[in-house]
Amino acid sequence: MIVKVVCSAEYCLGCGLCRIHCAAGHDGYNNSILKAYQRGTPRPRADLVYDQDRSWLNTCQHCPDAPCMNGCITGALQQDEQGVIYVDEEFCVSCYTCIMLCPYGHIHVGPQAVHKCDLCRGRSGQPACVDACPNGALRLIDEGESLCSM
Amino acid sequence: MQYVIIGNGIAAAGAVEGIRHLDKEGAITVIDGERRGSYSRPLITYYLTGKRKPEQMRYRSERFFQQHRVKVLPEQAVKIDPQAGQVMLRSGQVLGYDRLLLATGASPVIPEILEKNGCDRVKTMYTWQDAEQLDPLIVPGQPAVVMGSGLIGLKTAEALCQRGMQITIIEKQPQVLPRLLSGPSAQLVGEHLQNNGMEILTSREVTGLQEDGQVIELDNGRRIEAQLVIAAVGTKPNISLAVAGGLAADHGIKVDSYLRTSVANIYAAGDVIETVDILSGRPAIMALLPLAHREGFVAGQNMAGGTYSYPGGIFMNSVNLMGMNIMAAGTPSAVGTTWQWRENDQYLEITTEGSCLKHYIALNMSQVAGPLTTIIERQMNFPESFWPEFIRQPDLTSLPRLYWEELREVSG
Repeated sequence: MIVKVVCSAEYCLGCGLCRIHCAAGHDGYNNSILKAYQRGTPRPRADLVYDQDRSWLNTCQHCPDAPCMNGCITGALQQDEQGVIYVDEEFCVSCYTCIMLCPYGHIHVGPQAVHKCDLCRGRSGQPACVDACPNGALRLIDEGESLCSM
Repeated sequence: MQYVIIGNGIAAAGAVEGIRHLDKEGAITVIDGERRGSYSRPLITYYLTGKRKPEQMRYRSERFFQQHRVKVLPEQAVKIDPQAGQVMLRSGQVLGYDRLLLATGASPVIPEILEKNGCDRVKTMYTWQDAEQLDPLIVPGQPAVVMGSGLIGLKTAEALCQRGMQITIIEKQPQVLPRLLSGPSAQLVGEHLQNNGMEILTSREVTGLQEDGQVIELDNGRRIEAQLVIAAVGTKPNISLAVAGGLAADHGIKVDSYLRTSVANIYAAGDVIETVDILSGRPAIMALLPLAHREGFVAGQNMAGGTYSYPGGIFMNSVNLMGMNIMAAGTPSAVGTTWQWRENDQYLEITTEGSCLKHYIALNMSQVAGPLTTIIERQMNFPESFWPEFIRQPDLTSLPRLYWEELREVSG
């Protein structure tokens, strides 16, 4: 089973609202942008990549046979029943082997553990980035669709 | 189908996943000679510093083995009999198998000079038990000598330093991490370790050790006091079971591209095998954790009737030392054009041959490492003019459109 967010570069405005809502949706900010950005340290789980005239959200592809998870030296990177690849922060020792292995350059250094997209596990409805995109560039898809129409 | 796996490390876990990918029914038995369950060996230095508690050492949980219906035997395998299809255990028990996997790993090499003068103060750091035995010998403020500046040596030096010991690292080669880094990058890493209070002696060899191990003698006549001596000069595959069973082996067990040994229903994976460095095309011992998992997974699938071929791998490593992240991948000996980029404590070095990237070293510069590893591993070609362009601003934005399109093709 593959479930992931795809970004269509054709519609991406590069505005970064996805990242703002992503940060507010993690680290206990409870979707409060104010708490994350005025009183906290916002840490969006994905970057926008700008390539000449276009941009896209470089988010996790939750690869089948994911190199990050298979190469993880502690087993901190795991896959849940839905196919979401997430970090069990208690077990991550920040060796960054996963960062070295991710073809997308998606995984980031975090304060206690590596950070990556977890498709907002535990949130009801769509991931925060998808909900926040003002131009419909982000979609949550299931199996079989291609990664990113650029 | 009866599957037996000797070893309970990374390759074994990969093999369990591989077997169950194709065969939900067959019986899987794992022979766990270390009797520790599935744990991650790179964590033993974190165990020493207290950053990992015993319950945080596991690589795969007990639930994992239950879910995959694996029987784990805390036993030592002493002999394999390929003709009879049996494994003999130290307890006298005999296990029959239809498919056998040798995932027996590797062991540290003890330098001859230390072996001859063997004493309680000379230790290796390779298993959890090693760490437990080392732990009570650590005395803050006392000197410790680490022989070898590979990953194990430096991670152990880091842990002992964090526990308050005075560290001297002795390296035979002219630089630290000789199998990973270039001269200039090793210089930066060496300075970083020195700034953190370690003494590093390169191009030096140990020539003697006093009987009680309290003094180390070097080839330049210098004598160093040591409360503890860590031998970290390399590892060798544990091939004795395989050799005694008549399997073909050189430095490591010989396997074909399906990870089959010279006996058809016996497979091998992980640090014990000789595999292929895909960049040189030559056989190599590549004792790397991500490869061990991959090999285990491929072997497991093939044991369960699959026909997956394993092309080999590339050398790659990522390690953090005293707050500095060090990554390198590819062929360190690549002869081509080398470019460097440096800003504050960040450093990137890439070596290309024509349009092909062969090697990179990234210090505190992890953002682009994943794509660079992928470019090396898949031997992607970009226009020759690309790399000098890239090194000026090495970030994801500078990757060619071709790269992202190639990824889309692969995942799409």
